[in-house]
Amino acid sequence: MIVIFSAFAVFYAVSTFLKMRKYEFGILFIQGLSRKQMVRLIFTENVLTGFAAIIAGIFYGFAFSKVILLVCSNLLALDHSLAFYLPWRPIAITFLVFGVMFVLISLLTTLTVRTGHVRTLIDSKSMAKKEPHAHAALAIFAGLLIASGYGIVLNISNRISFSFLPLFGGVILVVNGTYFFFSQLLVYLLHMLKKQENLYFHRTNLLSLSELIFRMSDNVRTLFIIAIIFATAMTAVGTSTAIGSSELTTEVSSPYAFTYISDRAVALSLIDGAEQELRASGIDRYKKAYGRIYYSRIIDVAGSTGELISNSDYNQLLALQGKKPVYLKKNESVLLPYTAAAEKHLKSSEGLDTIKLRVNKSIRLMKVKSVAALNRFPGLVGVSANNPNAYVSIVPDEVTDQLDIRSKDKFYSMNYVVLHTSQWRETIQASRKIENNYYRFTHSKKYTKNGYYLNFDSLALNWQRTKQENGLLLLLTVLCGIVFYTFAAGFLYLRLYSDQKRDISQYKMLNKIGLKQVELKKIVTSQLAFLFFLPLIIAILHSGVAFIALHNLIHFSISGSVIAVIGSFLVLQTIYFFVVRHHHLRLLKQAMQA
Amino acid sequence: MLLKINRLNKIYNGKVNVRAISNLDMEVEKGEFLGIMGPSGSGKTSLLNMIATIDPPTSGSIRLNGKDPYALNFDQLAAFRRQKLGFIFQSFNLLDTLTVKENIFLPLTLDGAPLSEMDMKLERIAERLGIKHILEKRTYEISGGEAQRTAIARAIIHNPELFLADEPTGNLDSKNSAEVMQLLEQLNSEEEATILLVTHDPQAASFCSRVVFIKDGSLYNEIYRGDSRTDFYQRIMDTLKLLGGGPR
Repeated sequence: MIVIFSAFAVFYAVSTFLKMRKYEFGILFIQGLSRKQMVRLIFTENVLTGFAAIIAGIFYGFAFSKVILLVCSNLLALDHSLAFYLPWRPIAITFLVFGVMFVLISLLTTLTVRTGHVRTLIDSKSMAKKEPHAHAALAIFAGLLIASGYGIVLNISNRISFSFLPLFGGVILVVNGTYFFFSQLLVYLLHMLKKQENLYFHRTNLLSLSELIFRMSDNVRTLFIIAIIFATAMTAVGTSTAIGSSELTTEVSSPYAFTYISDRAVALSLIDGAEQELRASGIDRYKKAYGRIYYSRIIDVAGSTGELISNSDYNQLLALQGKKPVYLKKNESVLLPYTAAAEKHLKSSEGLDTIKLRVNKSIRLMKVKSVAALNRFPGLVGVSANNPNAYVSIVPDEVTDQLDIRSKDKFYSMNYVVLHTSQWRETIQASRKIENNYYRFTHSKKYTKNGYYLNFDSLALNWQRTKQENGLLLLLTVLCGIVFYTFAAGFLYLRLYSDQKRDISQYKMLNKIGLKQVELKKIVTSQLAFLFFLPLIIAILHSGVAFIALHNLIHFSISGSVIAVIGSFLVLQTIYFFVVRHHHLRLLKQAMQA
Repeated sequence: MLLKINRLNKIYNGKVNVRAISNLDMEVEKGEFLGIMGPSGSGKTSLLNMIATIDPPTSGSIRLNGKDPYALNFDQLAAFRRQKLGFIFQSFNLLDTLTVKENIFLPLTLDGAPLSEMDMKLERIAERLGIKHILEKRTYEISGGEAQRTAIARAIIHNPELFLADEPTGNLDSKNSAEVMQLLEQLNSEEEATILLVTHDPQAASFCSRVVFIKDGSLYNEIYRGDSRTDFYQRIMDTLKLLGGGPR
């Protein structure tokens, strides 16, 4: 992926530089350079620069790897820091892959160089380009393409059945729409602006606006490429940071330090062992709770099932975290949502007023007293685990007392034992031992022969694992984001660089007529801002729609990470903008004073 | 006295220091049409650039209406150039991003002049310069003669105190050259515009009321036109022969 992108970028850069050297080649042709010699000259130049770039790249990559290793150790919550080593294999691979890439590109560019007549090469300096034109119909078409693309993506994400094909179609519509936006709609809007003569003939507007329109034919490609790269990068980085964000991962794990669930009584030896390990690691203040979860008792509207636990079992669990108990009256129930989406759903107007329970052979209606705050419960087994609106219903003890638990169906009810301490983050070492005991138990004959169900969860271990996975994900996405950003920044630089000579002669000319430095600053600022921020704004819009769609699909709040990603792109681009503006202004001021 | 130049020196510092102008004195009256001639490298363009306030002198003084333009800062100088001076160049120096009309409006637009005022001025000038039919055209769509007339329009639209013309006929054929020079002559006689013309072309120089000759950065000679232009042309040719450079 990176290689393909680099190849594209390098090819673009090489052809831009070659275009700028047309005049030089014209002179060389007059001096009697043959076409063959020119091809050899370009090829050698490219290969040499390519290898210089690879060597420099490997050197810097090597130097930075130590820093990255340090960051990794921190980010991944590793116990030991990563050793610094000389990565021969990656270096060799990099060298080989990029070496081949450079040689291929050099060959390709020499093939694509069109020389034409010497006269046209020499004249290439002074040839004026025509102003781009836009058609109203195509401008409207651009808007339609983007709007329909947005519509499809948003519509798909709202539906329950989700397929990739229409989504892909939507993306293609938006990409094409973006191209037409820059090449038609934008040019059309600029022309409209130009027609407002009072605005157009007002101080520096004349120069800024005419220059913007004039450059559009060159800028369209750059604006388009940058907008697409930014949109892709933002969506990708935003999505993975959202997935990696804590909310999404803590959802799936039990909130208690240690949780055992079994369809039989949980073996006492395991719990005793766990308690011993806890005490051995210096944690004396922990609490214990046990109880039973009943499955397949709730008759829901959509036919899905939910779980039941008794009021007193629930109060025991509440006590683990030091919360106040709940007391239910007859035929009352409190719903306990599993997920943020379920919580939102149950608390909304579409939520349930009553639930139907199957108690032995009769059906009982329970009034929903309230929906508790999100409090994940260690009972996700079977159907409800896949139901985004799953919940546990807390019912008075007299209901559960009547339930038949002697059924042969093993998933009809389960026993759980929970140990909890507020110091759970310090139980990583103990957790490993407790988990090993669990594995040993589940591999013992006693367990396998009877074939019963026993599950174990350690909050500390889950926390560490997700942190490592997320850290890795975050690291990869940040690196990806940086690579993408560098490409976009490179394209911008190339665009500016290829206009540099023209700019210098233009401002020399304007200096003679009399152009103030404040005016120069204004013109340059408006032009650079256009080039730097317009594609970014388009990209923010595109990825914004993508994020809304993502939000609809996964039902988790992703706004925090989305704002962070968009914000960091904005900050980076703003810094780059000011750096480039500073250098560009200095260059032009020097040209004007010379 | 519109322009007074006193003991002007210009030295370009490089690997070898070049003395482009050396102890030059010159005066230009208001309403005068002065030609500056001299062989290549004689310092004509350096002199014009210094008067144009885009190249500060090494020593000596330039006074426009008794004031020293180089006492102004960069931005004040820029405003000074577009309000008090008018430029015409060999390569026209028109912006190819702009139409003919936009090019002409440029100095006034930068100064924030209202559109109605610019339109009024353009009406008068375009008629006179015969460029009314090309106002909406782009610079690459018009001929060299039209381009130079556009440049003249841009130079006179703000009624400058001093016109500076650097080889205005250098890129034109003889017919267009004569037309441009007649325009400048008219401007000088009818509007009492003060014009400074740097040229190689004795034909163009013969339109001036006075021609000064520069050699190696110093004043070599000066001659006045009198009544007959053909006679003046002959005298210019003679002086050039004496000067050694001759017409190129």
